Amino acid sequence: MFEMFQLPFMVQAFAAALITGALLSYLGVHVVGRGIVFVDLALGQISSLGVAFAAFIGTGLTSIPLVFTLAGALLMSFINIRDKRLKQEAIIGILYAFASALTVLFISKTPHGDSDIQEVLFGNILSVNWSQISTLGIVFGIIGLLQLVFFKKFFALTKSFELGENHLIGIFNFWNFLFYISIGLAIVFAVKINGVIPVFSFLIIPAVSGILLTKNNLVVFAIAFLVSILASFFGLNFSFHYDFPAGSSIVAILGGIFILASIYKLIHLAVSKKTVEV
Amino acid sequence: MKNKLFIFFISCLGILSSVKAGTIKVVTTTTDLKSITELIGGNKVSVSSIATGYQNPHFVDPKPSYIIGLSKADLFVTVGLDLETGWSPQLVASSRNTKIQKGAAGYVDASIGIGLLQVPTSANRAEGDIHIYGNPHYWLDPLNGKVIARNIANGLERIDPSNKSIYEANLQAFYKKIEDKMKEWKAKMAPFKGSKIIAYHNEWVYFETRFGLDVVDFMEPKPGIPPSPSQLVKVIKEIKADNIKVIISSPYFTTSSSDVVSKQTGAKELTLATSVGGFESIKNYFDLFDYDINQLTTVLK
Repeated sequence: MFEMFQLPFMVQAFAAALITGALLSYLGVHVVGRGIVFVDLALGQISSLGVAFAAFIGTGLTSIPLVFTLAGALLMSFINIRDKRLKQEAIIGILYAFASALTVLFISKTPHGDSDIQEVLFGNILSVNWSQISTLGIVFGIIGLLQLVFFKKFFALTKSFELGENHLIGIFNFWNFLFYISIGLAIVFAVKINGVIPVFSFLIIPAVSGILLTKNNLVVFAIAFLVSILASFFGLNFSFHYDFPAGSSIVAILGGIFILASIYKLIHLAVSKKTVEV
Repeated sequence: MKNKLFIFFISCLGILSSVKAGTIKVVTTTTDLKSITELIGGNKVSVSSIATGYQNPHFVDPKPSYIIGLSKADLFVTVGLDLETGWSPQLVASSRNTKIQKGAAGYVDASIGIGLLQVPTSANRAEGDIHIYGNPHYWLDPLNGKVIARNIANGLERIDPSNKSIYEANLQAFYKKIEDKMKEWKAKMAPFKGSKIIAYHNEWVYFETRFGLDVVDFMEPKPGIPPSPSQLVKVIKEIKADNIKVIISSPYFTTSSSDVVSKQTGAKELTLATSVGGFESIKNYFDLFDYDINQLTTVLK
């Protein structure tokens, strides 16, 4: 089970997965709580749009996507709907579709624009190196520290979205903006190393599994964190022993954990129903 | 006596297996390079290819076994230019095998000395200059196969000078076979010199130039960009105007847009192999051209 750690590239992959999983599983609890699960795909798509635009104008392949993503995050932090019939998710979905369409339009006028997007944005965790991991560690460390120090502020904000009191926080809320910037930066750097689907899964599945298993808010964070560690370890093991692409292996294990958590929840519900009847 | 014979036999086996263990481990990025390496290295080498023959060599999804294979390799052979930039340099770096890093004795860039086609004159990518070093699909000209073989032989001789004479002999045999086969292929293609065809992706320029075909246009409006409606209209017009008989494609592209054009014009779709192993019957570099030329000549008749 630990043979894979004899190979440096597997150790690097595990380190990268752990750092990614730790922060994303935490941010995921906020994302799921606010009901904005597509924020990740939308921001990811906006950074693809940045690459497509940079390739189109022929410069700024690393800086423009970052600027685009942060601008997208800023834009999203303004989404604060008073009309009860509309959910934020709808607006985020529109941004996703709009950014996808613009990306296609730019690519259609840029030779091999799609392979630029592949290269610049979608890394593979098996070929990550230590300098990438340390950059990831520094960026994620700063975001994590910020979230930890102002945990109460961010948490109260998410609660207000959960309770539908988000109209009380005003059009521009500094903490809301900071939250979206955290998400935006985390996604750009994580996708560069892990790829899109693993990042989406790291963000959503641990958080949902935690919510399924407990009602205690702090325990949700703890479970999400644990799930991300287990999935990194067993996912890479699965990839190593059966020779599968690493990203998809991690996602498959995360999916498996979600199914187990759901089964537990169903059994738990059935049992508690019975005890009530008795 | 029997015992002695038995011991002799066992020690023979031992020598045989030690020779086997002493083979040079070669990892190539594509199957064409694998085939040529096997022809040059003979029983001195054991070769594996990362990409399969029916896979688009521009995109390969890394698996742990690729890196493990590279970490044990004595020689690494790459098509080079920018064909595999998306994956092979990262895999080689991850393997941490100093023998096969760029510039080391065990690193072979098969493109060295190739007369490249479609080398961009300006660096402006928006004008359609996608491959900054030139078109990387050069192995589809059999005469370039000789250059590839020379580069591979050089690599083998660098890391295993003791067997130099064997590699040189194999190389000469390879040259001879290419020249013999070339006569046969040229004769088969001669009646179709100047035939106009449509291709899906811009990967046939070397083949086209060698065998005197004329690729009029591509299904992709620009390399890597899926066929657009206006491109389909343009291709349909060209097929009708020039009475083009065939649209050639590769195993890793979808045929849906070629289907549309084919139905509208009656031009035949033909999926050719771009690498060894593209179809099951294509076992080596010579089979590749046998297959493609047989297919083409049947359709063009």
